[in-house]
Amino acid sequence: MKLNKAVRVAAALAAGAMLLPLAACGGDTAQNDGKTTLTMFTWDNDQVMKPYIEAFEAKYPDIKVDQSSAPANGDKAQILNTRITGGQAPDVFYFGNAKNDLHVAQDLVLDITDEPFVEKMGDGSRAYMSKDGRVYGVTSTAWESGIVYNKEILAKVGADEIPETWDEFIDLCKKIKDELGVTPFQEHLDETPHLVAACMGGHYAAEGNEEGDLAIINGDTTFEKEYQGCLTQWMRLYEEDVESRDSVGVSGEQALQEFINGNAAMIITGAWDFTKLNESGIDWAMDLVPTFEGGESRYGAGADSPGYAIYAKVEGKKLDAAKKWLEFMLSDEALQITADAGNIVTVKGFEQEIDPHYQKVYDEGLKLGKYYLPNQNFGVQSDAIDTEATSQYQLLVQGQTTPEQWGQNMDAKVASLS
Amino acid sequence: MTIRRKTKAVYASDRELERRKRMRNLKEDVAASWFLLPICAVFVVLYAVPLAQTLYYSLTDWDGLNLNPGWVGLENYAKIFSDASILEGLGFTIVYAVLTTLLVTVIAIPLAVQLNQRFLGRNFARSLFFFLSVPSLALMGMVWKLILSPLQSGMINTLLVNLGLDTVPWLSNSRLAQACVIFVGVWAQIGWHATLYLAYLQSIPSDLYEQARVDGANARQQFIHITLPQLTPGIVVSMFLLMSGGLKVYDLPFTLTGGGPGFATNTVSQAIIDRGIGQQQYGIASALSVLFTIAMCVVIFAQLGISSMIQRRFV
Amino acid sequence: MNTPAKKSGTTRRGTGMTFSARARIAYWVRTVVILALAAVCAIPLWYVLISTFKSGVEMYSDPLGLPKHWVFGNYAKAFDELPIVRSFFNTLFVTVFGVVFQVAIGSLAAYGMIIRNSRFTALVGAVLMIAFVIPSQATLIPLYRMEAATGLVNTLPGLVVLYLGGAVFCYFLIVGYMRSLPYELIEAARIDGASSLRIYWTIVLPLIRPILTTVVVFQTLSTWNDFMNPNVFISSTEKKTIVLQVYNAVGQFATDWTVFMTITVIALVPVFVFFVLCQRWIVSGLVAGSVKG
Repeated sequence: MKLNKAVRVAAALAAGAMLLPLAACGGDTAQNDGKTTLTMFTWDNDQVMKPYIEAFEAKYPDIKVDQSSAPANGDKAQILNTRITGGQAPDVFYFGNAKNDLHVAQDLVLDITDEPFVEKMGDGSRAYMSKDGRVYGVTSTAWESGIVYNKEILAKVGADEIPETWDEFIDLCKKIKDELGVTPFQEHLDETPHLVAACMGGHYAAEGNEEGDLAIINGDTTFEKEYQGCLTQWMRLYEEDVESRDSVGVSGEQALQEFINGNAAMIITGAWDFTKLNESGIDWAMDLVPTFEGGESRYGAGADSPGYAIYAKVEGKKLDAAKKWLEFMLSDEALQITADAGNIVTVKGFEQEIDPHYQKVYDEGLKLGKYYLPNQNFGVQSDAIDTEATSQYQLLVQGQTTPEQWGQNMDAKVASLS
Repeated sequence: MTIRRKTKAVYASDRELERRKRMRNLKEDVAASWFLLPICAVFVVLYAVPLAQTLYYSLTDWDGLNLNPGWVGLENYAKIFSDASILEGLGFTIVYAVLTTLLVTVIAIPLAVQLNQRFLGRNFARSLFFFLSVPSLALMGMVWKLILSPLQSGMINTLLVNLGLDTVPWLSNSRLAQACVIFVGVWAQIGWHATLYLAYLQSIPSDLYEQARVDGANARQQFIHITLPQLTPGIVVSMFLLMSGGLKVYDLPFTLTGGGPGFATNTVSQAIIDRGIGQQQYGIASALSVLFTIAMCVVIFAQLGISSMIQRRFV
Repeated sequence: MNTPAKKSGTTRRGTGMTFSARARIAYWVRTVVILALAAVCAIPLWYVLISTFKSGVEMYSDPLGLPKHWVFGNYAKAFDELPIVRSFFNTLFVTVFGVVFQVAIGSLAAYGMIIRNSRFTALVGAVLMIAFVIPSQATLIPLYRMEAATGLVNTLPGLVVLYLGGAVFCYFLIVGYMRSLPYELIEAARIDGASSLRIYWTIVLPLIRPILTTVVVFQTLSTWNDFMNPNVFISSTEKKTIVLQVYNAVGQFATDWTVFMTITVIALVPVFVFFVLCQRWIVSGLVAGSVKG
């Protein structure tokens, strides 16, 4: 009796499951009927991609997009590489920073320098997608983070913006901490600290070093030499007890939570958190990162966003479809979707409404290209170096190492990789 | 039927008996082989062949992309032994595996024994404990990260502050972060292992307990002298699964701490992945996989050997 | 068999009052302690569940309390934005077939091991253990290339093939349990002339029902929950499994945690229903099987 019930449940489930492949077969034949299927492996997740794909398929009814993505915290690179080596390379895949990209180095990416749509990209984006003067991909957005502050809390200590210099910033933090007992500044250390990235951007700009960290990777200079100044200044946050050393375990998500709950007066973040900030009911504003000593004024952390490239071995109708996708992603229709989702578009001639909170960082930072992110210049082994750097930053904040040792350890890592 | 065969056997000569026994052995070998055939096929296709391929990659300089890797012999293995950083996850991996194995076993057995007794809401409690193991560790790692946030807004810290206590730097302090990963690992597994023990408890003949009760044994004595020895097969299975799973752990520390702070919660599996993908050194990553597989073999077979020794003493 | 039961009956009657009084106290102490422990352990699950009815802001500001305003928009959003029904049937397909084959292969192997104890079977048993020690990263790329070469990649049957690997796990759990069974039962049936397969079906399977259910339930859960294999092997939207949808909701910078948790809950509801259905059967079956008997 009891067994019968279970058998019946199992039978029902099995029957349901049997129906599925039938339905799938039916679906497949209908879809493949005369249509070109474009396979795609994207950086953004399915929810983000959905409006683009719908618009694209509406525009080109004879193309069907078959898209997949890997989660942000998973191994995108592993999946892409596994598919490529298995002979299942997607026609179009996510692509960023041609100079760092192993796929370009192995001739797996189509050279699209001569395609007319490439011209639409902003100069920064174009450089980001190029190696040795050849263009390999397209992107339409970039980001720069800034310091988001709680206006009410800052008003209580008589501040209505983020001070110009790092010294003044530290003083402001101390004031907030001493007078109000609130956490003045909460940063996240599950990636390169945005403040260090900003400082290094200013440092390289002042030095006139256009390669940035790539000069270290190429052996022209060392981490120990270049980073010492910025790390020492940044570490004042912890050495002068402005910020708790507990930041090592904090993610950007958690820092935001702390800000929204009113426990932190300032955090460092970008446009991706605006929706939550606006929903929070906190009176907030955003400003540029202060200028560090010895660096160009008010640089921020930022980079171009990954875009799209075409697999080198795509041919025929699929190739046409792939090019249409890249072109489409730079069209006003797609850019509007991009802008509506809160991204900052870098394509020439596209006007967008900027969230008023972001205006200053946009005008004085992003538009002028005053942003920097070290891992964009770590070369083909950037993932490995970046992972090491994150761990080393955590050890530094924990007080287990000094800025000097930080540099030495990083240099040792780079040496071990070559 | 039975009787006739028996009578026949009585009259058969010794040699005839010997021959028949051998025939029967052979027949049984063949029959057993049929039953074992599918699993052998599964093993060869899904484990042995891929492992052999990995062994091959470990002798090349494959970067994970290039289709024609070059032969480098044992160079990758030499690199592993000369590069200390490659094994930096080893310490925590061992601590995690050993501690989760011990803690889960020590908690799950009494829990199963209690769940096997009568109490109000027994089915509900059984389901609930089991359900702890239902969501995958990677998913729950993300949720636990929100719970164990070292900031004041973290879930547990919010509760502590409400009680007038100080916040605790859960995932910021290296030691605490390690403890948190182990704690979540234990949390996620006790339910399922208690369920496993529950199944084994069902196979203990109830007259053993009746007999013990007649002899005046109290609950603790029954537990030590009946339950534990009778559970040894279950303990062997459970500890084996915990140990082998623990040594391979990857997704929990990855989602909960990202291997940090610093390198505190790095694991060997993480090192293999980092080498393979992050550093495009699939050759070295493969060599590391092979060494890891061998090391695990040694640990696991040693464990099985020890536990079967213990088992023999009891049964 | 009968004597101890009878004896205990008299004992129980003999010391009647004290025994039942102590039993009743133990009953209530146990109830309180276990339910309290269960409640504490369940907090993370409660957190996930209750967050699905909150706005993003409220989830942060009041993590554990009941929502001040019940929000159902997260569910509407999840169903609206993702092909959840489709993913559900995909997952059902791979889970049903994956688990049925795994358990069949695993239990047959365990049985084969039990009926014949020779050097040959011992060797097979030892070799099978190797499956447990191979890190999955070591086999991922070779398996992918194998499936790509046979056209199984990006298909649901291809996933089912991968899940057959779980048969070794089933085998391991079942064989341990079978060893604890009275072998005389099998021997007796064999003397009666029953074929090996018949013994397996009519005698062994019913006897190992406790472990079989445990294994089926567990493998169902892990197959349903599996993320790594579909993530690597499935690249078509219409073939995605439901857990893939959950992970996909995690964004690069900002994650909509309430929607994330909502999809998690949606993905777990079928498993929960399955478990509740089985639970009644497991418990009653088990109790009837040995404890009362």
